[in-house]
Amino acid sequence: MEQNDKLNNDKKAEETTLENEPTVEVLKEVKKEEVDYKAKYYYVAAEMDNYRKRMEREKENLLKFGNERVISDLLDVADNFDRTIGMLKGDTDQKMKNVVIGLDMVQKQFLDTMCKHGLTPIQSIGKEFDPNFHEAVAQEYAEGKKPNEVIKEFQKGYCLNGRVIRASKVVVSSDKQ
Amino acid sequence: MGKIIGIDLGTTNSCVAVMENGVYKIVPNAEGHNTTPSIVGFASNGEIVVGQVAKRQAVTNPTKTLFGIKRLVGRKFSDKGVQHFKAVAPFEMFSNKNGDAWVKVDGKEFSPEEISAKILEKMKKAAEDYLGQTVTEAVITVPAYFNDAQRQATKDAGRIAGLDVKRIINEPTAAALAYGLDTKKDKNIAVFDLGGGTFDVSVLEITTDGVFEVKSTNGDTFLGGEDFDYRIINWLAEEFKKETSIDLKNDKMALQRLKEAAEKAKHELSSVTQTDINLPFITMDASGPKHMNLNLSRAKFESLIGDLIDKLVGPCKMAIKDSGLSLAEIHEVILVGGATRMPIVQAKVKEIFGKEPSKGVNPDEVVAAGAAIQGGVLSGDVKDVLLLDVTPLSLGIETLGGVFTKIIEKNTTIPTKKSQVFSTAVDNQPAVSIHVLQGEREFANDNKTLGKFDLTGINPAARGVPQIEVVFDIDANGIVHVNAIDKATGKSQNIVITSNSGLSEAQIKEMVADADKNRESDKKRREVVDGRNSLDSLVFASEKALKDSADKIPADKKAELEGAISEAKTKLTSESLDEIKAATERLQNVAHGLAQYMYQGTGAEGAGPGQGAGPEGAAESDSKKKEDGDDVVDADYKEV
Repeated sequence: MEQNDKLNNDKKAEETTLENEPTVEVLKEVKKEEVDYKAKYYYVAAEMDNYRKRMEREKENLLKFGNERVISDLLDVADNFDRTIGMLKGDTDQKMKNVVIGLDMVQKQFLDTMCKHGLTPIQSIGKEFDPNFHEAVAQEYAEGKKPNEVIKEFQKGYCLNGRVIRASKVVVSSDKQ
Repeated sequence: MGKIIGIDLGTTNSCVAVMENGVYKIVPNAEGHNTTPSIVGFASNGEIVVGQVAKRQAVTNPTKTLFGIKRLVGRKFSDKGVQHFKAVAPFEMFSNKNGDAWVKVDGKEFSPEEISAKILEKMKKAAEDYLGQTVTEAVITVPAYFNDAQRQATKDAGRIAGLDVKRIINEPTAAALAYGLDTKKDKNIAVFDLGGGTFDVSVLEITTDGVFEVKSTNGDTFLGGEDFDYRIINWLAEEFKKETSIDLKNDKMALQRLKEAAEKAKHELSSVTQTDINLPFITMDASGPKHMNLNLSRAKFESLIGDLIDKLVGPCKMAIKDSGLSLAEIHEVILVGGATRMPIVQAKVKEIFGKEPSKGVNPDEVVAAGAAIQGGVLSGDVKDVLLLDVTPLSLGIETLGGVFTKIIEKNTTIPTKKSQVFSTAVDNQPAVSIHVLQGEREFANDNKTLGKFDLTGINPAARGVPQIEVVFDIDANGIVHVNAIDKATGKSQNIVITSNSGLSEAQIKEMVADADKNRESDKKRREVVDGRNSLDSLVFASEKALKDSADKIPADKKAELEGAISEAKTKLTSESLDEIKAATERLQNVAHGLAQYMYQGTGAEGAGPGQGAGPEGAAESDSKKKEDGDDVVDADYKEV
């Protein structure tokens, strides 16, 4: 009977140890887990913060360049406007001259409107070729021109809020004939 | 812990992506484009330009503008491919002392690794600008046919660019990763990659342990989207010549415009069946300006490139044969490269492989995306931290009129916690019943009940006065804790709902579809109930005003208001929104008239800021009694 009790007590003691006093290994495990989770938590928190900052920048860019696609598409229309005017400019008929003046005004109005939305035309002819703004489509020798100077413009280039949305397509002078 | 970026170092274009909260994001370069030309230029002023800028100056600087460098990476100068490339490239290539193919610019010698490093540097910089932090580690992709020397060379290029290359992976493998292919079972996939200038096809085997093995690869290193453009340009020039006898091919400016128009037409014909090519003032002759105005149908375009499309078949058949697999054993086909957007290419792929190819990931970006995903796996991003769950259905409670008021919207990422303040529906209401529901329908009855509990012991007060805050808290394990607190007494009650009541995926889908189906009828019913609720509040406020200021209101005004109130009461059970609205308007008018009359009576004193002018019009009549301010009454409880 007494022995039985003792046995029971021993058993109880053992159980208590298991339940209430975790071994060093278990503690180490738990500690490691805690450190792990803490690291992950900080990582996620930092990532969240960085993500927020990125999104803010993205939002800014979206506002700045959000209309880029529409404006880019409209540039084709502007090009054809330029071509129309260019073609009519040489006409000597007085009536046609007045039409050209009118068209010039409409074109200016169109460009002014676009400028209000951040568009600026890129200057090319007579400038030194700069691939940041100009795209060379050909190179030709031109009498009396410095080498690497833009001598012809095939297509006007534009910047939108300081970023090139279309480089000017140009012909560049070469030093060899 | 820094990010491991993914770089698709391509022959013609390169692309970089990063992992962001478990989802890949393609990083735009400084010029705002998602892909960067793999071109490096050495300007006369000693500056090195990379990408779009290098491309723009190529014409003026052909011997010092290096493109297609990937064709030299890790190869011997004597290699057939190198010799072939040497014949078409305008820059100088030579054999270094080990026989490797190198390039020479202005007498200076460069290994292909050094040149590739310039491109990688640009990609690294773009990622750093985007992330706002330094990047030092990357995963870079290479074609499946690259040998060890080429892989090592690519790794070295990364090192020169200041990147610790954590892994080199195959382009088709990256594409498969981006498609999130189920790696739980063994399967074979074909990756069909038709880019701007090269065509690759590979057959891969994915095993259960996630290992990708390239079983065969084939292709044509000089076939791609640009060849299709030239066919359109030729057609345009011929048609124009037929019409006007003018050959545009001798006119550089016109040719430039044709090139752009052709590319645009090709892109458009992937989504529409015909497109107009309008080029006003394309040229001129003695009779004046000439315009181009042509219509190109998809069918015509496809007939123009028919022989090129047929060239895709051979390499595919070879790759299938070399893989030792039958067509039936190839479980999936993935499309990579911009030209795979073309319907005729997709149809050809389907014809060759006998199955519909997988689409959905942008074919220009899919390889970089896969590299970023691999980077995410390596840094532990993908597996551990970022597998966040969302609530598949909205959660909320029932409010006055059987309305389901959502507190947490569906697809909210968990863990999350949200609360809202409610009030009582009748005077001296002693308790509120919180009926927790899940679903997308407007009415409580149509949604699924998760649990119910009562919050009792609310101090006697007029309706709308008690403030009961209901807090929904979903923990990371998806367990929902709902807590209701009476702000006046601090008394609270709560319920814990485990595991979203075991709804299956199918049931959730059904519930969402059900809500879509009933959206209109639910909305109408909801409007009626909302109308009734606001009429009820108006009646209540008017009655209160009548009682509070009984001595100040003349008998005729009083009778008028009483009449309007009793009429409004008969409409409280109406099913007609029009009737309810009409009654509301009538009562409002009478109450407003009365309020005006009373303000006139009290003079300027009453003309202060309209503090009580809440949603219920009649509240104006007792606007001086701030405690009746109705700003907390978001919704009322059904009486228990």
